[in-house]
Amino acid sequence: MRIPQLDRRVLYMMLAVVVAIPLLVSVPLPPPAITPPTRSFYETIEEVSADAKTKDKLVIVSCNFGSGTLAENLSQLEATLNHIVSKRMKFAIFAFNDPQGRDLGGSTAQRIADKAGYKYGEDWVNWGFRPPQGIQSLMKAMVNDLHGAIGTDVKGTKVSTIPVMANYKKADDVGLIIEFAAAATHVYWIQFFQRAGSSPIATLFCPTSVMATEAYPMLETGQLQGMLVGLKGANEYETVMQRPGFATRASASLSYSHLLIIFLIVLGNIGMIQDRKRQQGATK
Amino acid sequence: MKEETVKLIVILLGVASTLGIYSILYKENKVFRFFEHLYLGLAAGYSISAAWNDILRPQWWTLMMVEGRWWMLFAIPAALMFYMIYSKQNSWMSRLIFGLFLGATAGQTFQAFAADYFPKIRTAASKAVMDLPEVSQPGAYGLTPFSSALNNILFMVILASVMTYFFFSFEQKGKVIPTVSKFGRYTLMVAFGALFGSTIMARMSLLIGRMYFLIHDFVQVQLLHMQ
Repeated sequence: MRIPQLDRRVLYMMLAVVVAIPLLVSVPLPPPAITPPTRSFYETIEEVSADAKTKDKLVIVSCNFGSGTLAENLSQLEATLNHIVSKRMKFAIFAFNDPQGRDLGGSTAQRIADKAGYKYGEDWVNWGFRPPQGIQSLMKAMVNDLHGAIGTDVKGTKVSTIPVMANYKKADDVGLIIEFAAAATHVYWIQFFQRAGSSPIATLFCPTSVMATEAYPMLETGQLQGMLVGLKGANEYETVMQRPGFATRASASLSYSHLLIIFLIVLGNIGMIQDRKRQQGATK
Repeated sequence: MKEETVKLIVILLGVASTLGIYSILYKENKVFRFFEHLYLGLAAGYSISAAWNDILRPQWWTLMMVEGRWWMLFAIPAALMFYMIYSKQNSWMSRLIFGLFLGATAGQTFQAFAADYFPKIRTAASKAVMDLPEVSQPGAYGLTPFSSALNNILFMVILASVMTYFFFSFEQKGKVIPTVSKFGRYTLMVAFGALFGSTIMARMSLLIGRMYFLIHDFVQVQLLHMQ
């Protein structure tokens, strides 16, 4: 049988087996190399939490993802929230692109906060979901009046009456923005919020792998201070934190599936060259 | 109903949905179509619920009906003005509200463009004279001096060659300009290749997430009671 005629279902089956085996049995793999964006991501949280000017400020955890990118964004969120609560930083969950982010972010935060002894309303808050159509106007309003712009939290309580929000009233009271996204929603923070206060706010980005390529230039321009690239970034971060989670367990599947794809690309090209030679031979 | 039973039902539904959706890989079938429509319906219902519970009720209905801010009632005629586009006699009303929103969006776009692109232009323009980009934030992305210099040179060469490729004001004749343009095209291909590679990684991650759910959450935890 010629390679180009190989049934695609055979390829799917090969891929399923290659992904499943490392999830069933432990497959040895060297620890990942920590890339500069991941290192900067970690160091930014360390520095913001240590700096006297920023350590008591609010961290906005923006969860703009849904179930479709759970494997990538949820791993990043878990690792990052573990880091934030270990530094005893106060945070707010917020979603404005996908309503699922409100629940996925909220439930993950609740689980991690419970383990860390955080109390809802005193140490963290869930602002809920706001529509993407009006996010530019909302962010501009948030710069000078967080309480008025956000209004109520996910439970319907006025933000101005929630204890954790008592000292956080405007952009100057925000010390860090972390965006977990399946789309390029980080640009809204950069365009309307990051530099609208008296000093720029450190901004971190956790995109899916697809989105990362476009965001790299922003690391060099200083618009972003760090980035976790998809599941690979989450794996690196778990390694830096020495706290293995889903991303560490999935890293072997990710690596071997890539090797299979590369192998299949090479195989496909060999098949194409063979076909071409055969056709040339037939015409001669 | 016990919490354990509810959890088991949720996981069984998840297993059925995952296998149903992936059944398209074998061939087009009715099970896939059913779960596809189920997913779309759920997503639409979920969005409507979020719009009411997180936005309309707390930000508008409660303020108007409970707190007595009666003037918020004017949001209804303002919203209805959009639909006047369907009336020949009253379509002027829709132009008023559309005009208002277009104006606001245009103003915001200016701010968005400046905040998004000016730092990129500034960094690109200052590459040749500066060793590292100007970064005022803690933990900024940094490179070693050697890799930074190499990166800067590579950046300038690629920037110039790609811009040459997209320069259509005159015919690209001779040896130098077509060669530079060709190099720009190749570097674009490398960038698209990187983008495609990242896309593969995202799709693999999605598959791994679903496989982990089937193997760990369903088989190992629910069926075999392993942790």
